[in-house]
Amino acid sequence: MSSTRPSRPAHGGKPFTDYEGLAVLLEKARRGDRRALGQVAVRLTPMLWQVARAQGLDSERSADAVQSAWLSLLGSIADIRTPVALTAWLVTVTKRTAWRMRDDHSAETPTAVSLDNVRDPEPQPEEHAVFTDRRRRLWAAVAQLPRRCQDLLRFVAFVHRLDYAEVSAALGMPRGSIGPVRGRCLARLRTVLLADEKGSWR
Amino acid sequence: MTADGELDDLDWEILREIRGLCEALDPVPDDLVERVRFAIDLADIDTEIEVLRATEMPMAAGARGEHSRVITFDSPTLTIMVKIESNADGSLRVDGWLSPVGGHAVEARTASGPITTSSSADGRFSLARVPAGMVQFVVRPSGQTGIVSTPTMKL
Repeated sequence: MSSTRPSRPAHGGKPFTDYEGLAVLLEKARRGDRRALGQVAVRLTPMLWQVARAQGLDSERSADAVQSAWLSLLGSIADIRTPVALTAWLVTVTKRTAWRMRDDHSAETPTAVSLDNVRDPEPQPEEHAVFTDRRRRLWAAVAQLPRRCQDLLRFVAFVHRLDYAEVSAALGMPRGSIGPVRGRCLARLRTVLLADEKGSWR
Repeated sequence: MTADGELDDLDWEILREIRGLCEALDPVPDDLVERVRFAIDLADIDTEIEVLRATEMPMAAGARGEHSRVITFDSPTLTIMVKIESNADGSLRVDGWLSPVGGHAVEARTASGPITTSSSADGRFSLARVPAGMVQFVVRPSGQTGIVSTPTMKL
């Protein structure tokens, strides 16, 4: 990454998780400010949703798992001092809750996100068609990766600049390995994308 | 990626696109953040909260033309079963059973404020008129400091 590049690139109008702002909100929330805690929930809920869904839960149970993590946090927030620790704590509790829910319903087939869910939009301008083509090719390339890589990239896309030592533990990976693993996963993905001769990623 | 392991522009674009794809393919339910904010706005601060899991998921409202549904929630220390029926005025009637039985404080948190009652010695409770909308059941088991809560539901 070049030094001129903004450290938090905007995408679709939404910034990646802003840990400095989160630190201020967390400090207020720890002192009992429920509005601040609500703001923290607005920031981190989309990432926790991805975590719950990646455990193979359906939509309704994923929503319950995410809510459970936030409710459980109320009794533990006094001990959580940094945004990274907060993120790791919430990810861990969401995953643990999701696993218990999955065990409750182990006979059911996990629901996975699939390309079949991509609906073709109305007739679109050429530019939009190219955009859609890139996304389809990207998703097809992601689908060729090992499951571990898919889950990791999906997670990393929602939070980055994390302290990998703490978060790798939350993700159930050996300490310190998430960085190299992310690198390998991205490298594999790039190889697939760039090998796609008709693709617009070249 | 560059040689020193930093991400380059293409890596960032790929990650942004993956995020965009996830958001498009598998969007966070519209009301989830709202339900989370409602749930964590509990008055109890620094209280140990045991969260109940729905073990029998509610049927979709009005499924098969029925006006009543039963939801069972479980936690390591408490089980609650609630039967929810629609009143003629659009509000909800809630009949519940708690186990272990006993007189526990029961609260239905709603958008228009909490409705409180207690379970009887045999673990039963009922709330005649609960406004439809967001509802969270909170139980304060007698003789304990912690509380037990369901997630917030749209009923």
